[in-house]
Amino acid sequence: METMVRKLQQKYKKAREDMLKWDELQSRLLSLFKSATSIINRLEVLAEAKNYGVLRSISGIREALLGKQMETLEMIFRSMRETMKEFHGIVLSLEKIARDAWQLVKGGSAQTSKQMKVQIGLWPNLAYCLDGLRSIYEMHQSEYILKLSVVSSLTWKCSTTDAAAFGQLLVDQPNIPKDEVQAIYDIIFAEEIWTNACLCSNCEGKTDCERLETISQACTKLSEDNE
Amino acid sequence: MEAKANATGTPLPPSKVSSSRNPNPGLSPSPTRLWRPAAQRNIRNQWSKLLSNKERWASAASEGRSQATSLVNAYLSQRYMPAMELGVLKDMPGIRQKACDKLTRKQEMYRKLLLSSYNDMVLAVAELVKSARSMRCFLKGPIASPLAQFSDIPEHENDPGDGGGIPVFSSFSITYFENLAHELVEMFVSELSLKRFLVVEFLSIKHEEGEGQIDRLKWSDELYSGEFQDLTISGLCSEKNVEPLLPSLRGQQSCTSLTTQADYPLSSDVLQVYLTTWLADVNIDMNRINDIFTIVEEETQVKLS
Repeated sequence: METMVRKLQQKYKKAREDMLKWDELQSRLLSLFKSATSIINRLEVLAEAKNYGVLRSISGIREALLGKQMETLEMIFRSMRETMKEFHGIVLSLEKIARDAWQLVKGGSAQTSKQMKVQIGLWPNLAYCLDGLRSIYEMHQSEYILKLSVVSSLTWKCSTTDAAAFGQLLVDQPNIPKDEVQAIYDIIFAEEIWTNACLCSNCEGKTDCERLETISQACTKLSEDNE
Repeated sequence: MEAKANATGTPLPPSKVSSSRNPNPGLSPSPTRLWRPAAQRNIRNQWSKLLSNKERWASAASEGRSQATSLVNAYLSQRYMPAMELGVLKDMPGIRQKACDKLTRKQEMYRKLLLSSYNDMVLAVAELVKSARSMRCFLKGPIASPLAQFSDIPEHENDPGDGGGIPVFSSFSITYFENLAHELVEMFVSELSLKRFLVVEFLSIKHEEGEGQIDRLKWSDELYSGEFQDLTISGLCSEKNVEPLLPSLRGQQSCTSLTTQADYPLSSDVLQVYLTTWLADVNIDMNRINDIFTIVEEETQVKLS
């Protein structure tokens, strides 16, 4: 049992690495998106010959400038698509982690559904471990699909308001509630957090103790549910 | 220095000299053989200068852009000041006037900074042009001398400085390197001219009370002392004609006159177009420039950066 949980905790650590990489991609995507929308918002002004002032005496300047901006925009779109591919890679990796974990538990020794739900102290039960990885994968899978549709809806013809709404969607990541993810990790690593907290039980800092409170409540609830 | 050492170290026997006739009448075979290392060194040198001055240009242009943006913002804030909602501050005596004075001082500062970035861009382009013109390697001193030395200044009537058109490294002749450099430099020269056009416009935006005719800068004004002399190096000013050539887009006819009048004061849309024009580098094809440097790095077997 303990070895199995330890192995599953390793999977969670791997998933955490993937999620850190996701965050990096997220900030890259947002900055690309910002550059794209600032060009898109400018296009209307650039299209009007009257906005060129004395530059009008240079023949072809409007076409050249619009062409150059479109070229840059196309390049940004290409980088965004590349970034989406990397997001997809993370989704695939999270899926594999969840699948591997499932095989690890079910494949090893045949676990009865009762054994899956056995709760020992602060250790999470096996069913919970598998479900957690599964939900983390599903959150990212849905978020990937949302991002993909936002990214492919962004074109040079978008209005300023549309572009702003798309941007907000990308920032929000509605399918990945950070606190839920954190709650899963708190339960999976409850024992570790408990040990660390005990080591520094003399310290006055209350934060860890407060978090511990939440965790032990969650664990109690979990055991009650199983009974 | 190295070429000199080689010359004394391994002189060719006279019999071989007569059997392998060189197409270049100005140079005997021995100097031609010695010419190569000197020419290679020069080519590497000039291309690494081209690269560093390209970067110097890029950083000056990007500084110029942020100064122009700040200048435009300060100018627009000042223009909108009378209508600006100041909230609780509105009761402070002379608050608007003080804010306007401060914005005026800011604009003055950004104008100076923009001008100095422009100056730096002019100098970077002048250096680029010089490097592109210094690809050749000429024999120095008497032709028959066993102590072959080379320089970038032609000394002999018959010496074109290109080693008779032989490959300097494995396949490119001097002319080929020159053409690549020329292609690259042309982009920067035409972009400099366009940027100058914008600098004239940016330096002219000033908030003036009343509707009187503002004393605006003209294209024919020298923006800083010695500017036209610097521009002569890059060919934007000819010695006869004091006024710089009018800007154009690369591959297009230079515009014949700057007759088009804008409506002053310039709208924020026009200013935005000016700033975007600065940012867009319409005359510079960055992909091609990177390609050129990659081609040269492969041929010269040297990492330039």
